Amino acid sequence: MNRGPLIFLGAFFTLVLSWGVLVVAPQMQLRGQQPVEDGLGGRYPTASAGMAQQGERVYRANGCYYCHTQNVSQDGYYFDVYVGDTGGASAEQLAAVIAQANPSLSDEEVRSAATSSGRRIAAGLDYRSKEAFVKRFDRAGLLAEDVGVKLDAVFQATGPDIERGWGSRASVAADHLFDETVMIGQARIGPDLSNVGERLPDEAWHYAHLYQPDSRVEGSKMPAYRYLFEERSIGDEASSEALTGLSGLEEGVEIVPTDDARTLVAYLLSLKTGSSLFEAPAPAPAEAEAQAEEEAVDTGAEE
Amino acid sequence: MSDENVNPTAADRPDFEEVTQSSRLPLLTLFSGATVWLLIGSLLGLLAMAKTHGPGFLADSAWLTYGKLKANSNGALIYGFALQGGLAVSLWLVAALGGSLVRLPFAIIAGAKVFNLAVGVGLIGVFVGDSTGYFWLEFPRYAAVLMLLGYVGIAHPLLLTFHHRRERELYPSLWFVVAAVFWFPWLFSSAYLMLEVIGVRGAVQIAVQGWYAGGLFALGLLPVALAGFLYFVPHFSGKALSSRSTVLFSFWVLAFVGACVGIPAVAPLPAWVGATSNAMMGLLVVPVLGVFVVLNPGLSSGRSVAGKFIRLGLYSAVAWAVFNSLATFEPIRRITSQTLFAHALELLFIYGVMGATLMGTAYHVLERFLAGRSAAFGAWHFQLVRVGLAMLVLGMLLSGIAQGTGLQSPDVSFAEASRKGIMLLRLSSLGEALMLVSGILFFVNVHRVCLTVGRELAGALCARCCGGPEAEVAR
Repeated sequence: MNRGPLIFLGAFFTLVLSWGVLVVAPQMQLRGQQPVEDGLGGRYPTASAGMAQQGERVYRANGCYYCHTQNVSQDGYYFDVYVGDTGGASAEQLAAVIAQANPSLSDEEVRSAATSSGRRIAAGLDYRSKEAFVKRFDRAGLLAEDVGVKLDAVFQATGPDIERGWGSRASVAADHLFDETVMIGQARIGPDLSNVGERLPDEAWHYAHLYQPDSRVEGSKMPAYRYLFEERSIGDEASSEALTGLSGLEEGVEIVPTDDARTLVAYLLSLKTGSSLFEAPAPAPAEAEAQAEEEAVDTGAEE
Repeated sequence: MSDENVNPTAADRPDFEEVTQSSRLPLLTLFSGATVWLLIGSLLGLLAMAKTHGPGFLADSAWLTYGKLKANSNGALIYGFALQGGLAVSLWLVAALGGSLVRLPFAIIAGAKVFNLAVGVGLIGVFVGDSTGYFWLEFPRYAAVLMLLGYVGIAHPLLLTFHHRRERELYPSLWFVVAAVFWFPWLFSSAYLMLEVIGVRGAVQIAVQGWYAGGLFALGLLPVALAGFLYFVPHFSGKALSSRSTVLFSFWVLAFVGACVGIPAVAPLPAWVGATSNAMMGLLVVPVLGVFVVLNPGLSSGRSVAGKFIRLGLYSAVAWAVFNSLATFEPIRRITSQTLFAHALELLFIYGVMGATLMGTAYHVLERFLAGRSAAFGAWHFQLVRVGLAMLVLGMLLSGIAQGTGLQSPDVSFAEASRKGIMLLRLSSLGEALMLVSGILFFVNVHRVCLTVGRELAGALCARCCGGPEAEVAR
């Protein structure tokens, strides 16, 4: 290989090839992406409001993405399977469906599943994807259809990030559809923020946390962003926007957020990934709410 | 096997001294610029590290957030130091291996000035909040355009020098150097166009960013380091490359794999994109090991400072490629992904692979410019770099692993997991401080030679123009 032009052409060809595979192909796949029904009567994702969009620029300018990721990963799903509606099937037919659905159950367990109130057939089945799970229950599903029994499943995404409460499902391309700059980050020097708007929905909490992180998170390593706030002496009347619950403030002084702080918090509150999508199903909030209600009823009964 | 493989320089040629002389000013310009950015980059990196230990440190300044400091530390080190220094290495290899005088030296000097100005403007842009928000492409548009102009100013005389070479047979180093000179501007301009000018929508930005970041390291910079190893190791040891075809194979594997390596395995993109990129990253070890195997017979000899630096660079490259490759396997990736592990490897690449190579090259050529006298503090400099690099990289790698292991179990709170990592990060910060000190030594060494050469040139100029002291003597 003694010719310059050969090297030039080789370099050009290999680079174009990689560009075609890793840039153009994803672009072709994703270019038609549009918001979809989120199952709650709304659409997801939606373009952020002006405040949040301004806040994204503050997030970008300050390099927040060097410490915070927006990228939740997921291992798979856990499924709980139960009989929803018996549809007038006989006890034997029901037992047959249950046995087919979960062959690992003993006769005794099948009987108790058929008669118990929740009629739970299987709990905590671990699958990489929803398709794998559906395939597994194909035959049981057919049988159930024949006798008019309805099988239901409740699922939950699994993985350390999900169990840590950083999101209810994996992050996917749709989450970033309307981002001006996609900043998924690189290292978790601070916690993941994909779903921080749902995790920590209190505006006042964010202001106080930005001004004095350890006032809200004990032993926080986040630097204080005091330059996003204004220190003012209290005039005739304290400002309604003044931060509360701070320590070490002088008497007669109040801390008020600047526009940058306001937009930044609006942006943080706009980060929500709770919607269930075809490519990343999440447990429906309705079920989560129902569960929460149940728990509320339970605690109510205890009181 | 041809003679070029045994002794890959045209040093025996009678006119080689002329070649050295012609490269003197451009090389010193590029090296002195690179040392300044090395100092600035290390200093900013050290300040950023300090912020991870004491969150109150510099907290009141909007200019000095961790994100801005880190972005600028990366910017100064990658572009100002590694890329500019890499161009100096390339220029020396092209001139020495081709046996040709450096063409348009003043275009190179002007290009370097523009390039340095651009990096400076870019850093200020990021400090005032104009960052683009894309890793390693943070410089705002005005700085990026200027930087590309500066690059072209330096690169086109380099290609001209290559074109006018007197040795027609290409020594393998030149394949890598010439390809890299094209790869970088293509990568940079296309990534920039897609992200900032055309503005691709949504998650595709992640793909573009990853494609660029991977390509920058594997195609823009790594080939220059490999070219340096392929030239210097046989040159110092006198032992030929054991196989030219292995190097040829390595070159093409690098070309095909290199541009596909940067996209994270778990990203909000269709799963095949990250998986493909991850697999390619696993293969990147092949070309590096290929070059290592070919050079292995000549590695034991060489006691000069330059030789030691080149060896350090080669070992760093092998470690970098092996760690990256290991981290593509699922059980390890789970722990290391989204921790500082990846950043530790980036620093190993910048300071170890690129840094050591260009320092080795610098000492080699400085010695020639000083007519055989060796630069002061060379041995000290080497020891500092070796110890500092080990502490910096190992501390951060272990910190990443400690934090990643903690984050794997949801029972360990985030603060608890991070605390483990931060203890180890102290070791890393100490390493960064040593790198800063070593940077100062390097700066002093390079600039002393600059002064000496500058005085000589000034004397010669006086003599030619108005008959200075030398003219008196001649008379």
